[in-house]
Amino acid sequence: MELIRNAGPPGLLVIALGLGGVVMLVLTGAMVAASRAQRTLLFAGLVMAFGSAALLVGAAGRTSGRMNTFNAVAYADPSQRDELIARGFEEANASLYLGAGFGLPLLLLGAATTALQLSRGGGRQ
Amino acid sequence: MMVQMFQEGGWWMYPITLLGCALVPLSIVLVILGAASKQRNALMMSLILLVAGLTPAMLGAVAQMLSMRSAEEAIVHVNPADAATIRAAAMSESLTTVLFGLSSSVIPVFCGFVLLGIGLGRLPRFEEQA
Repeated sequence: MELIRNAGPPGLLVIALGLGGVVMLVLTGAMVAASRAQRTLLFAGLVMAFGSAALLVGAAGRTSGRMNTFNAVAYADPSQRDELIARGFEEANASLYLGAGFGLPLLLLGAATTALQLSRGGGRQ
Repeated sequence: MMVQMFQEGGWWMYPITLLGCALVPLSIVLVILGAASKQRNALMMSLILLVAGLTPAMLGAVAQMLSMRSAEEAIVHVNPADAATIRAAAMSESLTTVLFGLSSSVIPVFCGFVLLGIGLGRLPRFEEQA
């Protein structure tokens, strides 16, 4: 919960994209179960699309958080700089953690499904 | 907000913006064309989109590194007491290009993966049996 609060608006977008990817993953599973090769590959592509978008938005969120941190640090009391940087980085990284948490498994699962489907080499088994 | 971002990012913002503005409509057009064309073309378009989609992010990262290099060169000639303040402000400003590049990459990369799925699903061995 703290991770989501620290991540802010980009975190919410990452969660939305991640949940979209999970829905696509479920649909991919349904297509695998139904032995629909063409649709399996299409949904696996969608899973990877949502995963990559979540990862990129997470990285953008971290960059935005770091920008705000450095902006604040530049005008802060020098004695508080280290503490501000440490806290700012921790909050900025929350967005990337969320993005990587959703994005990387989705990318891996999408790629694995695609590879498996291609190696099987056929539609209805 | 946008004007401030352009002021902070410097001239690097123009190629990144231009690339982003070109890639978003191109992504949509390529997805439509790819969905209507043969698998070979769809796969080729998806690879083009994936590579082109990551270009703004890479350009943003290069711009950030070069901006920081310039800032560090400038910091050598200033009062050491002000160095930390200038470095922090420069870091904040230089990250603008990375943020802009990453934001510009989201839609093309998303479309690239969608097109990859469409293209792979159109391979003859899948199309015949599905």
